[in-house]
Amino acid sequence: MKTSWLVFIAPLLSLAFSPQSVAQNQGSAQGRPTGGRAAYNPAPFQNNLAPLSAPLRFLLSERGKQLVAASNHPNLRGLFHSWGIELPSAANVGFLAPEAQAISGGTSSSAGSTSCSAGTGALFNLEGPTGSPEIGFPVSQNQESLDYIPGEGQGGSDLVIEAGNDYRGLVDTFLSPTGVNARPFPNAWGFSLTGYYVHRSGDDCGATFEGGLPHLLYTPTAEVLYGGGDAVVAADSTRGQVYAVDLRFGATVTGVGLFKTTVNLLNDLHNCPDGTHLTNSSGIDFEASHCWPTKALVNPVLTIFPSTFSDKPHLRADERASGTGAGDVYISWTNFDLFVGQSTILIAVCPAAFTSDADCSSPITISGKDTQTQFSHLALRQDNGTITLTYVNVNFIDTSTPPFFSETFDLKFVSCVPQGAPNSPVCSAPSLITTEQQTLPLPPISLAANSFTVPTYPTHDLRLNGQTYEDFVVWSRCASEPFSALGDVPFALCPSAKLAMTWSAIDTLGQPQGWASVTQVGAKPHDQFSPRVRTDVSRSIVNIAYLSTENDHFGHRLQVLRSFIDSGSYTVSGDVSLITPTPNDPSADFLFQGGLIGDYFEIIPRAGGTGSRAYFGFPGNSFQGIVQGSLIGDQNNLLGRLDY
Amino acid sequence: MSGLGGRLVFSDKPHVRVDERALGTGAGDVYISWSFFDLIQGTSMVQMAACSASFASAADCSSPMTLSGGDTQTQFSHLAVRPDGVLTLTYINVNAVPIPMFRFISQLFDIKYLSCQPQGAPRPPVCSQPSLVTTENQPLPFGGFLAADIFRVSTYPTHDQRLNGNTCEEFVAWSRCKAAPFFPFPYFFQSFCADADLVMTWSATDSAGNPAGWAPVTSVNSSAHDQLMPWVRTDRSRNIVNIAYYSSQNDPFGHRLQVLRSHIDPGAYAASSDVTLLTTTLDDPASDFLFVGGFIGDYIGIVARGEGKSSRAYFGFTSEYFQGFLNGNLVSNENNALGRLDY
Repeated sequence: MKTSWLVFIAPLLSLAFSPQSVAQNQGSAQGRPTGGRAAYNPAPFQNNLAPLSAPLRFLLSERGKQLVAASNHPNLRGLFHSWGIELPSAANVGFLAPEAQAISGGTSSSAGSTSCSAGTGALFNLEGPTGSPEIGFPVSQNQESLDYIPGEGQGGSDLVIEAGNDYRGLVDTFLSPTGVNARPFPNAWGFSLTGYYVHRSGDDCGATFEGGLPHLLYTPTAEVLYGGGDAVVAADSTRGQVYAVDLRFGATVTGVGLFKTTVNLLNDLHNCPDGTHLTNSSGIDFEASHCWPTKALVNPVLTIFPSTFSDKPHLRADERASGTGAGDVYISWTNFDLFVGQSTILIAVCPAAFTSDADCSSPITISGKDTQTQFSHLALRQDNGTITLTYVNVNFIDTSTPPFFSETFDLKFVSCVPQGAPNSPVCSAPSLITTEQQTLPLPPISLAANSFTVPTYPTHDLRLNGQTYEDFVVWSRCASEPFSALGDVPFALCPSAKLAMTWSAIDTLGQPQGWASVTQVGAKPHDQFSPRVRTDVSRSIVNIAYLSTENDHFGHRLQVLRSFIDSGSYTVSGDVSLITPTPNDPSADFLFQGGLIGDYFEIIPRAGGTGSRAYFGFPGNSFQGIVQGSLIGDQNNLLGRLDY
Repeated sequence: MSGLGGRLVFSDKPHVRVDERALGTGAGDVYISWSFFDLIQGTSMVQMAACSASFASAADCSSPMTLSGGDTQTQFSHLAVRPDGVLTLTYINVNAVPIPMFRFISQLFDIKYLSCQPQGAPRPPVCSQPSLVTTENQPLPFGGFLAADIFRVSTYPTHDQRLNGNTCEEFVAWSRCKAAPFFPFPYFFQSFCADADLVMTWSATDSAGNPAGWAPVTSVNSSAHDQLMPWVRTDRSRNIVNIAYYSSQNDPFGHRLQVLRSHIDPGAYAASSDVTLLTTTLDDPASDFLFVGGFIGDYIGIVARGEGKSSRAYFGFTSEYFQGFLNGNLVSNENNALGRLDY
């Protein structure tokens, strides 16, 4: 294998950059190993071709390691230690040792709009412009997932539940004592990097309460695992239950956290009070644990370097009232094997009444012989509970001439027949949907006018058309070959990202009957990416939410758009809804400065409002924070709503 | 980078001015200044050389001379030539000092000034010792960052003179941080500026260029968000001191830049409130596909000339507005752009 293909031009040019700009690219170039296969992944993932989740990739970047070095997050420090990651010394990164403690003032009020018609989207957290009181400045939220249950909030309000990455959980650790016994600061956010945000009253789109998903105790090693982000939410409106998954990792174990609460609890002012669910006077996440009382650690694997790591979980609940598997909760994720440099897709199923991981099936691998997989995404048939799942398998192709390599993604499809948890579903072997030859390049740079990384990440959902279920898959791709060379120097960059889609009818077992030719969705300038597909099952309308820079001359500022495939149609309608008329500048976040917006955002449509109603959860920097008396851009999780 | 007597050295950030006088000692001479980094010693000094207008090679120039005296952490030399041929120069010397209450080092910038008497190249000018203009306690620090942009930018004073009657007055402008340029968190230190402003000072100078005393530092533009990279140049035909700079004040995100021009009218000692917007279209520095916002250079330029009643200024700056094609797709592309203002 030629080694020169590992040399991207951007890291070379970074000699002229400010250090932070390189760090913001989450550039793997700084940590390029000798002998690693994938320079775009940070160590210890450089033998894996599948891209690591953006949030963890950021934490493993130079800037992220500086933050971790400054923090006393026991899980992050423990995991990094077990991985052999050297953190910068405090003297080098300029962080204070935590002897002196001083709490700067903050405010709990928010200057952001909570109107559902806000052109920016509504602010969907309660952090306030000066941040948490114990922190004193606002920090970032991104990578949202949400679900809602129409009319099940207080007084008939929609009950909207969102989860996302919340970096209060990292910055709060700066306040705490160091070491494995580090405990969250009292009366504060806590150590959870996974935030939850709930709207339950009124017709606005503001958050009624929020908090960090509670800790898990891994009994065999007695390690406390705090929320690690990468969260996904799913509601079972039939049973009035709400689930969330996120990453859990620490010095001794990694896995996927699974949490459950109920509609009743989410409307309970005692167990889930209004406001921010802070730690108690002992630093315990008491309120969060009462609001999300049921929890399990799925797929716990001891951290013995080189080891495995569970990444990028997805989650769907079978909302059927009856039938085999009705009410079951399916969790999929990517299992990175850091020793052999492989990644596979696993799935587990838990019953609605689970109380611990013992009630769930053992994880099963469903990616067959694919060894470089990522981005599993689940969907469920409404009639028989058949599960369908998509993922990508990454291929790197060496060439004898510059740029010496190219990258393709095999888009794969698997279907599973439910057996009723804790029995594992019976799954088909994966089949090929299509091979995407023009993927969005992997880190450090994907797009022409933005510095965050965005992957080709297919998502899909099913619709009922007559008696036939059809599966629609949408992903972003580069409009032209993204790999080229300047002389002998490889150059990976997508000048324009577009959405692509295909569909297939599926049989009762979920087997595809043949995928349609791939078509491009729209032909707007600049970039359309991060599509999230979700069907409004009440009307068999396939919704596609995505980010686009098409209305910005520079191709830099983002808007949230919604396209759809009408019932009975197989093409995307030309009627595109602009969910955020006000463009968002991703560079205007003072913490990430455009380097991280997350790998995904979310749309959830259901019958609601006067017909159908869709909620959108996405990041935005329009609501400013206050630092040192000056207004500055601050990344927040925002909420949008569309009635159609 | 070169070896010099076994030393690892590097010449950086040159500046140049021409003595445009028709007659007199040094008339037509070209002055060049730069920072001279000694990588082994970890020092940098400001040096200068003078070349004759008819130079054909380096042999026609003076030997480089060090101007920065005992300062050992210098950068950003900036030259100006008075109508009488006296040469003046500013630069910064970086000081690392502990932050009160914390155990970290912050940067303070001493803004220095010196003047030189021309001797006629290849003879080097005779220069004064550097003197302190002011100590900027809240500079845009090296290695720091702004709230909404990732390109490198630091406090870089520039200056020029104007004639006020028979007195030559020196004006210096630079960017600074509105608040302490580090993060306000108990255990966290990060060089960071939430809001950069533009400030100035001035001093009358004597016939040798020695300052009579620098005025208190005053604001040129302290609007919201950031005002950056000032470049000072006097329109000698009317003794109007022009200051061109970037500002993100008109972008609600504080990210996109415009080029603005402030000025100090003849006889005035404060920047006029009449600020000219030289680029009405906001430019997005993050949209260049090559640098992706990481680099727009360290400075912009303005030159202003006139014939007494009307003047014209040209502005050279960096812009991503004009797009290029990459694989058949329109992408933003960083270009050098030119603006013109008649006033």
